This record gives sequence, structure tokens and C-alpha cells, in this order.
Amino acid sequence: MRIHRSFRGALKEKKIRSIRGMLTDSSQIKLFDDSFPRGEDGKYHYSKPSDEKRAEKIKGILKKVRKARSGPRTLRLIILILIIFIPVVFSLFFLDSLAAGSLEEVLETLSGTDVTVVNLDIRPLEGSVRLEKLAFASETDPMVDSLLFTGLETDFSWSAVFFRRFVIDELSGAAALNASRETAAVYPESFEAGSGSGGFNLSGFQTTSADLAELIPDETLNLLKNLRGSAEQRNKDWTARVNRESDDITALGERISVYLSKPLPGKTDIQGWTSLIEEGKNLGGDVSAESTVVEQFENELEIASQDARRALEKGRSAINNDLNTVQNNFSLNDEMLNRWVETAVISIAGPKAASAYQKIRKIVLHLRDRTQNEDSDDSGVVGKGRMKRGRIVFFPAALPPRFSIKLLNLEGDDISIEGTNIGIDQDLAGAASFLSIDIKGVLSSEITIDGRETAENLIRGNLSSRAAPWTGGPDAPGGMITVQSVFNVRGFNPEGDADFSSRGQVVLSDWNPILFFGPSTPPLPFSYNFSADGGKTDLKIQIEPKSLMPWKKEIGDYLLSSGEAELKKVIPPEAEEQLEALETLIEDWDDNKAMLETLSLQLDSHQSELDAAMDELTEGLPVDIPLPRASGVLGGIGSLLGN
Amino acid sequence: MAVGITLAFIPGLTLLWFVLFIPMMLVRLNQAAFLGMMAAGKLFMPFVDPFSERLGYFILSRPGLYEPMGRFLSLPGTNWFRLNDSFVTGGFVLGIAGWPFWFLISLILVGLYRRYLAVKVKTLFSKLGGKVPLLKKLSIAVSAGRRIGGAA
Repeated sequence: MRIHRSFRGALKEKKIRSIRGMLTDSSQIKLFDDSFPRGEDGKYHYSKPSDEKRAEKIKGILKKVRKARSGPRTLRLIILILIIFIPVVFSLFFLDSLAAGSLEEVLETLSGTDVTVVNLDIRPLEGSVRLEKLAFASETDPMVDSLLFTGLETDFSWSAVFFRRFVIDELSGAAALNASRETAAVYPESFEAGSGSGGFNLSGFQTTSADLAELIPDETLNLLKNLRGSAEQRNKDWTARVNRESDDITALGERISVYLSKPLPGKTDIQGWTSLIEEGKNLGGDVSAESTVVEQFENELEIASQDARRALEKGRSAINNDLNTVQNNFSLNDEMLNRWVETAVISIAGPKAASAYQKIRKIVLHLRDRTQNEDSDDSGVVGKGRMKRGRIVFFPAALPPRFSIKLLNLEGDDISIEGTNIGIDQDLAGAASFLSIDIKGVLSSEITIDGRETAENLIRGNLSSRAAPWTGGPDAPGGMITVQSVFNVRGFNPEGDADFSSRGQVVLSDWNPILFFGPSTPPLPFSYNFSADGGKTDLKIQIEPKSLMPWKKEIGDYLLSSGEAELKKVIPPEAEEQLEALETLIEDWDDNKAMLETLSLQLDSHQSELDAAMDELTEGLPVDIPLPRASGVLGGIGSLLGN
Repeated sequence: MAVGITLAFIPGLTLLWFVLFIPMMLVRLNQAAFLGMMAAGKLFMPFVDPFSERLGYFILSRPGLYEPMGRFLSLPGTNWFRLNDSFVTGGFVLGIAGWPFWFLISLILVGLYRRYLAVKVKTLFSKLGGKVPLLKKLSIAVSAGRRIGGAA
């Protein structure tokens, strides 16, 4: 039976007096004094009473004293520390890596490409953050970082942190473009490589040929269809008749064979000879009739074949007339040329502009979604965490911006990014954000972000490039682009209503490969007007008629010099099909002609057989009756026999 | 126990929650009942949250509160309380205003525990304590809690 450990050691005079003051019963005081005698060192030491009952009693007294003590409770403090300070200490130790991972994730979501964050060092007590490297991987080459920041240093304001805000006084560092990577980029799952390419092939005139095909009038196609239809019908009827005639001639041949195989009658059988001759006479008549029909068919075949050839020529002539019309239009129709160029530019730039807009929209909506989850006034009870289920009510509090970089300065050999008041809640910053991006010798832009309620535009800015390289896609032409544009965003919201517009002047020059046959492709200046509303985008191109002149000449020369073969590309496939069908029909007529020749030969053969049979009959006649030869004039047999 | 319920209403990891939690850990009350009730109360919060959120929004959207809250939130550090969040305010008001009610509920729960469960729990811990020293200590703690009783 031991007393509590806090009374086992030497107790000072002050402690003894404090304990004695807590005891009211004199017997308890006496017992306490007896149990804690003063030692030689001047301190009081516990001396266990020899009596077990007294020992039990002093232990009870000390237990009560301990329970009644004032001051901190060690155990509770330990629990409190465990609950509160362990997470804090853990965060402090792992804050850098946690923040780096979070930053990487957010930036990958916003940029859509692989983001590398190296050595993020957060120093809360100093109020500074340092980042050794922040890289955005190229969307086309995994071994290249399209944008690289190194040596980023910033100091944040603790006074803003007290307001649960994050305000950076100055962010500075070095920047570089297209830096090579040591390891290949690992793109996020949502990454779509080459999603912005247009896939347009201007040099092949695939798109423009399709447009020109509309110039072949419907009348020509209808004419071709009618010509083909009537020729086919005529060919079909005629073929059916020839087939029937062929069957008749075949049957006639079989009858002649049967006739020839019959035995001759006896010399006294006048009736038998008469009937045999009568039958031969009939067969001769049939052969003669068939020969007449075959001759008639040959005549008809010649006429039909000529008709088909004329129809083919007529169709070709109609197509050529239309081609001539198109060719004439090339040198005259500005609207058509404008439409070509517009189609080309929209095919190339449309997807890129839409992709860029969707990227900006995604970033803004993402930021708004994050902040509006905290600050929205109209959301329902949504979200996974409890803190995401509430609605924020606005009060007229004087707060710093939710996030702001007061001064931004990122300089590199080939890029310079400067800005003031970059961040969210510019209404609270009291001034608009200003961001200037200058890719030296290529691009410069100045962007103003103004979230104040009275601001006309949420974002407005201008962008100008000085002969930056561009390409329409892997197989499409490219060159240099010069842009002068302005843009503004009136607002974004998650429902999709947005008002984004941009207009400006663009010059496409130094075309590669050179289009058409000229020594160089002329530069193409045009103005554009891009607008977006929600998820829908609209890009309109306007080309000055004066700037079209060199293009008209180049394209006209190109088309004329490329000749009929090139022009034929404008013939719609259906017209070609009709012409080919007519040509096939003419080949069919030739086949029919061959068939008629076969029938004619067949008839000649039958005639020969009948001639031979008549010779045999002449030799076998019992009386001397002269019998004319069957060939040519078989019909004469009948007259000789008295019919 | 009633304090545990109050803290269960308030979303954790807000300054308001810590401001209430830390003093409660330092004053003399049944810590086991406090922490246990807070943990148990969290399990029921999904059913209460929609109501507390609406209550908080109703309170915060009162016109008379507009100017005072604006001045209050302009003070450094007050934004960490997140009292402009309808959910935090609703939980806070429900927890504080309902404290007498939670106290009564706690008394009933303690009474029911002593009547039906205390002996069985003590017996269980005593049996287990014979085999596992740590559980023996828990058994002693349960007994001590039973003696302290009305500290809810």
C-alpha cells in the first residue's frame, strides 16, 4: 500500500504548509505531521506509520489532498496536446510535401498538362515561401517543359492570414520557355494530345473543291441521269429481244437437226417424199425469216449505239460547259475566294480558339467553384465535407483579398511576366489586377482582371504577337502569324452563361510549304471576331477585298495552270458516275453486236446443213424431179413443189 | 456529456470548435463522457446538419445582424471562426442554446446507463481485466466514472 508518487519524495516547507492548510481535522493534522517528519536537510520525508490503520488513513488523506489540488492536470494536458498539437506538428513537418502535392494537383487541373513542383519550402515564422522549380510540360513533346519557373521566392502577409486570407507581397523568380526535361512528362488522365489541331489541308484544295462542286448545276446532273436512264432502258429492252431471238434460233437449229436425222422414205413413197420436202421448205422459210430479223437487229444496234455515244458526248459537253463556268468564276467571284479563305482560317484557327477559350473558362470556373463553395449565397446543402454544406452570408467586413499577389516579377531570357494585384477579390484589393506577359520578340499581352461589381468587364486585355510561328496541324501548312487583338470577358458562371469576345487583326505570312505555284505565298491579312457564350463558340473572319487581290491571282493562276485534271476535282462524284455508266452501256452495245454476229453465224450454219440435206434429197429422189439448192432461196422449194 | 453534444454540433477544424474544446479539456468534468459523447454525437450529425444549416442561414440573414457582424468580422482573427458560414453558426447556436436540453438528455442517459448497463459493463471489464491488465485499468476507470456520476 503506497501513497501517491507526488508525496514520496522530499517535500519543501511551503508544500507542507499548503497541505496542512487544507486539513481541518486536528487528528488528521497530527497524523500528517507524524507521517512527514523534518529531515536533516530541512525537507520533509514520508515515514510510513507502523500501524496499518494509520497508514491507510494517511493514504486516504493524501489522496483527498491531491484531488483537491488546484493547478494544471498533467494527464489532461497530455491528452490535449495529443489531440491538438500532434496534427499541428505533423503538418509543420510535412507541410512542404503536402502543399507541394496539393499545388501540383491544382495546377494540373487548371493547366491540363503535367506540372512539376520541386522543393517547395514554406517558412511560416519568416512568412516566406520558396520554390526551386515549377514546370509546365509541353502538350506535344513530353521531354520539354513549355514553361519553367525557377528560384521562386515570395513573402506572405501574416496580417492577411489573421483574416483567413493569403496575400503575397511580392513573387519573384526566373522564367524560361521550352526547357528540356530529364524525364518524360506524365500527363494527367484528362489530357488530350493535339486536341486543338484543325486537320485542314489547304494545298490539296479538298475543302475548296467540295465547295466548288456546288457550282455544277442540278440541270446537268438531271440531264445525265435522264440520258443514262433512257439508254439503260433501251439497252435492257433490246437485250431481252435479242435473247428471245437467240432462243428461237437455237430451237430452229434443234428442229433442223431433228429433220436431218430423219430416214429417207422409200422410192415408191411419194407421200413421204412430199411431206419431207414440205418440212424442209418450212425450215428454210424459218431460217430466212430469222436472217431477216438478225439483219434488222444489226441495223437497230447501230442506231442505239450511236444514240448512246451521242448521249455520252452530250453529258460530257454539259460537264465541260459547267467547268468553263466555274473557271470563269475563279477570276471573278470575290465572295467565293473569301469563303475559301474563311473556311481555311476557321478550320485551322477555330478549334484552337475554341480550345483556348474552353481552357480559360475551365480555369475561371474552377477558381470560382472553389471560392463559391466557400462564398456562394445560393447553393443548397451540397458537398461531401460538413464545411462544404454551409452557405456564406456576406457582411460589410473590411477584409483583404482572398488571394492576391501584390507584385509579380518573373524574368527570363525569353519571357517576362509582370503584374500587380494578381489574384481573387479585386474588389477587396481596391484595384484591378494587371498582368503583362511578354514572350520576347514573339508575343506581348496586357491583361486586366477586375472583379469589382461596378467593373464593366471581369477580364479585359490585349494581345499582340510579332511574327510567331504557327501551324495548322501535322499535315497542314504553317508559317508566321502576327496578331493584334483585344478581348474581354464579362462574366462566367457555372450555368454556362458567359460573354467572352475577342476581335483583332491577324496576318498569316511566310507560308510553309508555299501554296500554289508561285515563288511565294502572299501574306494573308484578315480581321476576326470571336465570341463565346457558355460552351458555344463562334469565329467570324473578314478579309479586306484589297488584300485578296494577290490571292485571287495566285489561286487563279494555279487553277488554270493545273488544267483540266485539277478542274475535274470540282465535278461532283455523281456526275462522274453517270458518265461512267453511259460508257459502260456503250460497251454493252458492243457486246450485243458480238452476240448478233454469233447468231448470224449460227444461221449460216443452219443454212449449210439444209443445203447439204437438199443435195442428199436430190440424189435420193425416185423420179427425176429437179430440186433447187436450199441456200439463199429455200423459199423457192415450195414454188417448185407447186405451193 | 452536454458539452460533448454541443461540440458535436459545431464543425471541427474551425477556430470556434478549438476555442470551446480546449477549455473544456482543462476544466474538471468527466473527460471520458465528454469525448465519448462528442464522438457519438458526430454519428448523428448527418441527420441534424440540414436543420442546423437552415437555422444558421435564418439567423445570419436577419437584417439587424448585418452591420454588427460586418464589424465583428472586420476584427483580425474572427474570420477563422467562420461565423459567416450558415453551417457553423447554426451548429453553434443549436449547441449553445440547446445546452439545457442536452443536459437533461445526458441525465436521462446516465440514469438509464446506471440502471441497465453499468453493472454489466463493470462485470465485463472485471472478467476481461483478469486476463488483460489494460482492461483492468479501464474497469477501474468505469467504476470511478460511476462514482463521479452527476458530473454530466
